[in-house]
Amino acid sequence: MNNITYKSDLGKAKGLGGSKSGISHWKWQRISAASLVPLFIWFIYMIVSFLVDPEYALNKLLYAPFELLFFVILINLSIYHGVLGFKVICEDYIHNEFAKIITIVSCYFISFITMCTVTFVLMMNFIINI
Amino acid sequence: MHIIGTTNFVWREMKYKKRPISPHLTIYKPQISSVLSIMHRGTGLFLFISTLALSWLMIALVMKSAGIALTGYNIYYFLDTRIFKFFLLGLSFCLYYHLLNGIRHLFWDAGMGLEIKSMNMSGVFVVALSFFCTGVTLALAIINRF
Repeated sequence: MNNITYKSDLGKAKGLGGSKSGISHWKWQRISAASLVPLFIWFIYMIVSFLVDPEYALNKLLYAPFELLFFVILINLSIYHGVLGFKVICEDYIHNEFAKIITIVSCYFISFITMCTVTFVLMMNFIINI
Repeated sequence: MHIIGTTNFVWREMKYKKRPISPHLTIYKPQISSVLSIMHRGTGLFLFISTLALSWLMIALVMKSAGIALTGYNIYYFLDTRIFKFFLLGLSFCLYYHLLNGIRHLFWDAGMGLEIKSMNMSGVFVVALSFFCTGVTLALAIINRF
């Protein structure tokens, strides 16, 4: 029963399909979503504690090692998840091929630079203030 | 051969006469499933753009607290403006909605809750719960004088 695959012979021969990436995009979107669920539940808890006591929450978020690690992972993962989703939206609604490619590639650039800078700045801030 | 010729003709028509291309968002009657799906995309797009913007805002704030001013504007004053608070309220609704609806999507991917009845019920539940969570957040913010 487990050996049944639903691929045709041609499908097996051609491998990963036209884009040569297979289900990679779909898979990573689900994986990042599933890991963002607990992270965001934790982050909502941090938002609530920020609303109750801003100084305590900010100190925890920026200067407690594990909280900072969670926060950095949260930002990077959510931007990654956003990039994957933005790519799908662009592919669906931008019909001009050139504009589509320009939008997706600039989205990649901006997101990558943002991820690097946020991580670097938060880590440096932690190191100088420790 | 005839069928292939016909398909080719239809394709050529589609390409050169600029007929509407899928997805046809405007020609369907709005239903719970479609409206929630469009909202999921819309809130996702808004969340993505505002995550990037808030990241740069946070970078500027942290750099400023370390003594390096990235902009000449007073960022602390901007954090206190009404428009920013309203933006944060909208952002929190989008976050709650996208999170809850995303969990619903994950259940669908696991093959659960795909019947039309339970789909509509969970959709209404998700919207109601995200409004409720936004209300609780707003109440907390008001109580603590934000």
